Amino acid sequence: MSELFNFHDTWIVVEQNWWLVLASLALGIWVGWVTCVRKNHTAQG
Amino acid sequence: MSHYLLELALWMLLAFFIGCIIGYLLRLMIGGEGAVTLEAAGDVPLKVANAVEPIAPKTAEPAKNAGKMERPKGISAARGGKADKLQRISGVGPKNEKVLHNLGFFHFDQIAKWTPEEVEWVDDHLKFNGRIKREQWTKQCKLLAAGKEEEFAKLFGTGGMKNKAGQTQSGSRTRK
Repeated sequence: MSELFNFHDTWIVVEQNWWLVLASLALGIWVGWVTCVRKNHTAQG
Repeated sequence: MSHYLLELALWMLLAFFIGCIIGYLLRLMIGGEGAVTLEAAGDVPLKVANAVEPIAPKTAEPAKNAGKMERPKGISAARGGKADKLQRISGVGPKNEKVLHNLGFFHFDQIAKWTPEEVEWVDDHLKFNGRIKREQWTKQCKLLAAGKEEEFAKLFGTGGMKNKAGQTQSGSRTRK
């Protein structure tokens, strides 16, 4: 279990799959953006 | 292998959450109507610079103004069974119209008579952060109640009248 939180080791996973992490980041940015837009529209009424 | 996948999933999840925060903040900073500034790194309180009038001093802090608020008196049903179309008020959509109905407001003249204390109460109740004052709901309602359509359109946009495309919409100066 302690391996799971070993930053140095787990960073290799990111390096090998950077595109997946980047895609997740991009998806997150999109979701955050859309959430903000919807929140504004809801507030508008 | 499963350990590897779990780690990858955790990183992806982390990236997703970070992305959500970045996306949200980006939208607040650059995606708003006109110049929007972030007041805090946390949640919503934002200022829209090109709203109807310059931003009024922040008055919607519940703790400060708790004693000054006063719930406006509503009525149980619309007079004559026919309510005014409150969506004509710039800043009021179908949802807020329902909320106003639930609070007992069906007519423009009712809202036009709100005192500053009552405006504070409704604003606080609807968590509008000073929007009612900023968007001058009482002024809008005074004009609408008096039937001053031209003046209303001049100050607050189409306000429910048909636009060039033939669509009915609320005031265009504060709503898209």
